Amino acid sequence: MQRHLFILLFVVLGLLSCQTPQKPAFESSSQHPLDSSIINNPEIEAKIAPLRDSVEAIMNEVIGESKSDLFPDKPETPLSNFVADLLLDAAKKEIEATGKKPLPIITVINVRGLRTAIPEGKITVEDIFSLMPFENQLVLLKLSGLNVRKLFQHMGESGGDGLAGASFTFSEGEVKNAKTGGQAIENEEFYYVATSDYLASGGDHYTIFQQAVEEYEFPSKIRDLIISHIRALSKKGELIDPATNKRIKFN
Amino acid sequence: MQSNRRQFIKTLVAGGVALSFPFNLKGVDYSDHPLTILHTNDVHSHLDPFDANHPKFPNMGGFARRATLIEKLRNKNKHVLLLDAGDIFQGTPYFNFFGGKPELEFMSQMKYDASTIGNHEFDNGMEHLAQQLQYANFPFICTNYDFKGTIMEGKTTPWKIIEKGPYRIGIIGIGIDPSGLVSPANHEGMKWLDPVKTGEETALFLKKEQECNLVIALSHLGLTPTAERKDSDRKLAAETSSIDLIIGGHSHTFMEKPELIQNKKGKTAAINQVGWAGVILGQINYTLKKGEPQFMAVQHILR
Repeated sequence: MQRHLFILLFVVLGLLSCQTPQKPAFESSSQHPLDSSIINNPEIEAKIAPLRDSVEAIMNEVIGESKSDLFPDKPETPLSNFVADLLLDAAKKEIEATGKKPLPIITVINVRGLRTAIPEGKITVEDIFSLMPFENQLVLLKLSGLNVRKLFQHMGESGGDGLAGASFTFSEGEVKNAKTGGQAIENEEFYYVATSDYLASGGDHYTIFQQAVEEYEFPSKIRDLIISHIRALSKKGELIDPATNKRIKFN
Repeated sequence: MQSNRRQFIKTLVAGGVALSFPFNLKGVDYSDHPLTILHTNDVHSHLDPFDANHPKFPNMGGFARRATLIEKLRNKNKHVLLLDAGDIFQGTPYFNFFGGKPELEFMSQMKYDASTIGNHEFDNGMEHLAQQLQYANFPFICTNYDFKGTIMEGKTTPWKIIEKGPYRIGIIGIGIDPSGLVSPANHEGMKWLDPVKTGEETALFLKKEQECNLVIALSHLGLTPTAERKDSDRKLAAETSSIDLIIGGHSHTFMEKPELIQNKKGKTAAINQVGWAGVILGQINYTLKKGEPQFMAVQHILR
């Protein structure tokens, strides 16, 4: 009897415990498009509504007008000229205000950091948020002329980027005729380069900025500088109408 | 002694019978226990649906709708896992003004089970990220981001086990190489570990030592490799042995259905991704395969 019980016990336990483990198996998949057939969760919608109102009030403000459609493309475009030029002006003012040593100054921006085109016509704050969604600050770096040439070398090799206050020719993989303010860039001299904190920290492989002998962070975000520049243009009754010249010549 | 043993056997048999009663002895039937995995990726602060005149996604997306849909699917399905594959942040002015707080709060309200950190989570720096994570009541799983010695230390977990009915699910999180993608100052001190090697080790640990029967990777590598980055979800799937499912992100790929890839042990790994901006909620269903009872072990015990 006992032996029978043992066998029964082991068979029952065996059936229970010794089955192959249950393995999850992929069965099917589906997609749920979030379209207007789905009603809003009222609680979440009630929380978003005030956020939306406050954002819209800021974003829908018209701050200026653009004469034409402006596109962010490599190597450089009127849009990159526009942003680089206004940052150059802002940097010059800041240098004056802080009583820093006056040196020739150049501005470099990455075209890929300009995220959308600027449309012809009325420009709102939202357009500038779309253009420049990142919270980048403007920084000022002091570089030797030799390192400025290396900077231009990287700009040439990476297919161009936004440049103001300087020009050069990129020919047969080499930087030629590098100038700022009409003067040739000298290896032994020092220059200021204003750029974004993103590039200054080596973003987009701008590692040459690590060679800066001085670094100064401006208090302003790049986006705020663009917005205030457009406001200033409007105050003077001017349109956004950037320079169309090429600062980098590819031969 | 004798009666003690008899009593012991009686108890065991009674227990055994009681335990076995609800089950079919030909194999435990879990067919009424499907697992429903719901997932998003790269929502990029799109709290609202796109405008009605948007060229690609007119009036699509939105957190308030997603909450409704998830609630509906939770009511319909027994075991639901809700996952996200990163890049919750950046893309609308909501992020500029509110820093990601509403995104994380609403995801908490929708009861997300886990997410991972995408490259855009670093956009305002690690201090900001560490600060914002207080608004998430779900874990951020980062297996190959080592935050030791940074302000993010202890804010993420390298793996997480979630049990849903008969499913013991191990989750890992695989992050993209931040170099050239994230401002170097914004990930300073964080160590990026090889995704395939680290992913494989952790997945194997979850399967073997933690006895998970399903391992899911939340990956922000992107579906396919690029010129700058060789790692991808396809590589992760093919070169590992213990990852069953990759919930992908980063490449913003709209996959109509999961891609099935043979892993290095010849088993199938699935990859799925649902584009971006929260215009689609993905759903993947798992069931438990019935196993046949094995008598070999019983015979062994009787001997």
